[in-house]
Amino acid sequence: MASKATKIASAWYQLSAAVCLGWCLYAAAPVCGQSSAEIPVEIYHETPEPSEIPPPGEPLSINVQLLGSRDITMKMIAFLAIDGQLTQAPLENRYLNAYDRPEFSLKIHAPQTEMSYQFVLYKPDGKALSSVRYQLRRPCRLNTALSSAEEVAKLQGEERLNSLVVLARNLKLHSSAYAQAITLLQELKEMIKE
Amino acid sequence: MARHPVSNRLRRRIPPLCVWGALISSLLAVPAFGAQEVAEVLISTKLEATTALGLLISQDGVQQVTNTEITTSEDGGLIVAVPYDEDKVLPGTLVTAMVFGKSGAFALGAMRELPAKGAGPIPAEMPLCPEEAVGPELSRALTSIQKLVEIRQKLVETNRSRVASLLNEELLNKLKKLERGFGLKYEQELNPHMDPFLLINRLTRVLNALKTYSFFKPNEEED
Repeated sequence: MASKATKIASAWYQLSAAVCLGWCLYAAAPVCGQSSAEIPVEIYHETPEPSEIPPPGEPLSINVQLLGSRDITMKMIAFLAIDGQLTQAPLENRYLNAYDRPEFSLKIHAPQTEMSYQFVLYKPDGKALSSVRYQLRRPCRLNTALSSAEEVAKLQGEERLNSLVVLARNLKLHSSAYAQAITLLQELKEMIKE
Repeated sequence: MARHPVSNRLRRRIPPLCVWGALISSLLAVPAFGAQEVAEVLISTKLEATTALGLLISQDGVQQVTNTEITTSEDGGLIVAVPYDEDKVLPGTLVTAMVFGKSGAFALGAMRELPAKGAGPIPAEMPLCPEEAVGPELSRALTSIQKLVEIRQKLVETNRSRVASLLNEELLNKLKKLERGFGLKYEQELNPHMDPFLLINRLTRVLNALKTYSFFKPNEEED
């Protein structure tokens, strides 16, 4: 009889311990001093839809948020392969966004066909956190070549009109690319001067 | 106790059914093992290539592929076909290729990510987008479009000459030196008259290399 009572008491003790441990782990971690329940830092980024990718060479802004942290002093770098060419760039403009999350941004130019990129966050404890690799790919390649005015002049009717519309679009893209080259050259000139 | 006739018949049919089931599932499973795919890598070079080496880069390291095939692209460059086993590569593996000429000169291809398993091959050369035909409402605006083309041609010329004046010999030499210093190798020398899309690509890479250098510099000083 006594042994039965001991078994019941032991089972009850084990059950209470398990319930207490579960409660500490999932419900009241700070009260129980469980630091393992702290929210881990996560890199959050949404890739633009293929239809949202600007035309080749046009400015493209990539924004990244941090989840689980309000620390804006952390540094982040992006490893990019734009049209197959590798480059790495630090992300700038660290600030807390409307959701109270640190937001990083990077301004690049839209690829001709495809690009893939990955972010690496350098945490204060010296560890690095990598994101998954994101990929942007156009369904087709836009022909940005400029046809000569003589070629277009030879055409007639609807064909001429279509060629003129394409030429006007491509001239806009070329003009924008040169304008970007001017900005880049000015920035480079300043950096080299230092 | 006598067995039910139906259950007896079922009992006799179960073993052959199992055999057929196993056979069909094994046949269906065959393509999933050792599935060979080919990744195409575009190399913009005028080099007369004799051999090509494919490189599969993942967190496990770099895997060399020697049984590659070289063909010529539409724009006169090279396309290297790199075969790989879909089941043996990690997700997010990058692929590139190198071609070697007789004199020992080499050129490195574009870096691209292997497609997801089962997504099929992605050709190196993407098809051109079809140009949409202009609607009838624009046919009355021919003169305006011609005027727009003229204005934009002038704008392109202005921006082009602005680039040429900014990218003077002094800055050009400095940038060429930086490109060499950062290991950015190209077949075409940097010049203000190159395709503007290529130009912004080249300038962005130099600028990013400089920014990355400055980005890590304070940490080195702290140490």
